[in-house]
Amino acid sequence: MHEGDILSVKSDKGLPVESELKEISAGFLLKNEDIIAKGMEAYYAKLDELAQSIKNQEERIMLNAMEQAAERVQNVVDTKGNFSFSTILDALEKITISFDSNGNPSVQDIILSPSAAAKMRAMLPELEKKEYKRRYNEIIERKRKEWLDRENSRRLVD
Amino acid sequence: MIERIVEDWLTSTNERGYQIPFCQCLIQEGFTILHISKHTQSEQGKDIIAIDPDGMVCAYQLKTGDINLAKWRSMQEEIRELVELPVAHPAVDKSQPVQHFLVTNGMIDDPVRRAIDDMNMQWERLGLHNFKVDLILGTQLLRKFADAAGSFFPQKPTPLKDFLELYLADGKSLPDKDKLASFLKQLLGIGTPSTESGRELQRRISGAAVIAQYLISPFEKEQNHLAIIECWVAYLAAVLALAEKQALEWETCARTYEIIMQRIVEQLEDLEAEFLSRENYLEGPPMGDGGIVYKARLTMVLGWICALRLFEMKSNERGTPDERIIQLIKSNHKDWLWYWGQSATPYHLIISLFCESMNETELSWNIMLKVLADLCLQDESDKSLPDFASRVPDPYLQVEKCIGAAMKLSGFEREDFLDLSYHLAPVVYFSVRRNKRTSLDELWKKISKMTLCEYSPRHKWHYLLWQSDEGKDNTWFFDAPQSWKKLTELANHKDSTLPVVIYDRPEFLYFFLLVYPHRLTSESVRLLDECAPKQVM
Repeated sequence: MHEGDILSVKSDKGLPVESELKEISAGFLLKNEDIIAKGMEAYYAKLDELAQSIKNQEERIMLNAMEQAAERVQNVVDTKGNFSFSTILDALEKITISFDSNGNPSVQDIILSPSAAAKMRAMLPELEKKEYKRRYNEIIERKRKEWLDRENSRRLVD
Repeated sequence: MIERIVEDWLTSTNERGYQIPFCQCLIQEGFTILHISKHTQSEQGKDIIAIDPDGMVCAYQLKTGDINLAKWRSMQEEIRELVELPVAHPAVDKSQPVQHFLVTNGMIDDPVRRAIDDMNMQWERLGLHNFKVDLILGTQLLRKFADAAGSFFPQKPTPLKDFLELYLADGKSLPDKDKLASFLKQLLGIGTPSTESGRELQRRISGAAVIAQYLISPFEKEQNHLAIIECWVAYLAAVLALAEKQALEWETCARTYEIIMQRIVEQLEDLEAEFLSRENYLEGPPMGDGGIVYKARLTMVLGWICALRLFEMKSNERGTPDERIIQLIKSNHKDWLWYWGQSATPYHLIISLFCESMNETELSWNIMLKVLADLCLQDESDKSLPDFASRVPDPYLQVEKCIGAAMKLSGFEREDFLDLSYHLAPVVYFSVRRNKRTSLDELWKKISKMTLCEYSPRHKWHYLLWQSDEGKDNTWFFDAPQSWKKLTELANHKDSTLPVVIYDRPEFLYFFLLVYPHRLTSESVRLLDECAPKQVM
């Protein structure tokens, strides 16, 4: 944002969402003796910590915004504590997927907590199960059709 | 401090340079300015005609530097004209007595003083009691200018530092508009609550014009037309912001506005004359010029000349514009024009509008169609995208930075931009108003994928600031499918988002948008269309 204090985003579904600027800040303390002993190194040593803190705050703001946006349009899949590939496929059903000029679906990122990520890694061999593959392919084909419909609708009408 | 600065400036400027401050001093002293000669080519020996607070008509002839006997002899005829020829102005009765002044920013030699005394006595002996010339010399001007600017001159360290940096700027480059606009905003007291009366604000506006003239002097020394014009447009934008914010009676700033507008027009006429007289447009050392630097210069110069033509057609000052300009655009627009990013949109728009006003509708549309197509570039793999930016640069990125990045100069980085466009919606609406449905249809796949963006300041007067900190950055998409009927309604919808001072004088937009490209919005382009001069038949 170059100017102003409010960002208003109206999605292609026509729902405007306004958000105000949020402050992200981080600081650190250095002891005089550390500065005397290490010089600039004392500052450099703190930089990673500072950057990580800012990154974490940014991440938290973005995840919160995504969560709020999903809840606002009731586009949420509740795992009820039973996380599985089926849950991920349920989520895929609910999102918009685009395709590149070769017909490949655009890459979707999955953000997980460290514990959920570990659990998912352990479940990876399950992905080979036919039922998952079949359902995944069905979803992608359906999404491809939706995408083609969307692309075909990009025109002027009376 | 102020005296030193005024002295430094006054001793190095010419009559054109101190004409505006002199007029502003007269305004501050309660004079009404009736006439200022164009290009300081005095008419009947008179550069400025004014009426003093007591109703006395005063005529001034402005000169530069010390006047010795030789110089006096060469100008004696003009002085006779100043005194002996009556003031020809509809607001002045020819039988009314007139006070005549010879003004110079230098000194006058004793023999010249005696010659003037003799001349005055000779008129007196002939019974011509109203024929007399008085002197206003450099020392008096210094006092006047220092007093006019003095109370408004920055006293605190930060604005003083800004002033000095602007005053000592490189006269060959373009002004730092961000810094200039922020300095002018502070000088005019725009950002702070004001309890000043209309008269006090008028004094402030005049004082600020005097200080602005000092800031322009580095560019005047280099005859840098574009920089001089940009500075005065920034000054007028600040004055209009103040007028809008304080809901000022237009009379408070009307004369200053007209004087500065006349100065801008004169400078543009000089630019046009130079442009038409040259075979090529290289500037300074040839190494480093040419290519995109050359194209950027020509895009800007043509944009400004077309803005002048549109302004004059709108103001009815000149019936038929010079045909040579349209011929040059017709022959060279493909080689000369460069769309470096969205800060180039206003130049292309103004050139296109001028072509349209000259009945060159196909040429006009081709110029904007290229802009429309460029605004739709969004894929990084698209070879048409500039290699110095990830997307079409937004309007906040000035031409100098685009050139620096494109030439990979040190200190200029490749810029990253989001997939959003500030100018796509205004250009789409421009096209819709011209019923260009076929072209839009072809591009709609791309257009509908672009995130559109427009800034709406919370206070209308913020539109005239370089940087507004209270307002909303709106982003949205066009529909898919998009109803043409709805698009047509949107394109013609007057949303009254601009300041009243702009609706009252939309021709200011011809100049303002070139200096403030981030203020090109759907409504400002619609207004330009609404007030377009009638096409030349």
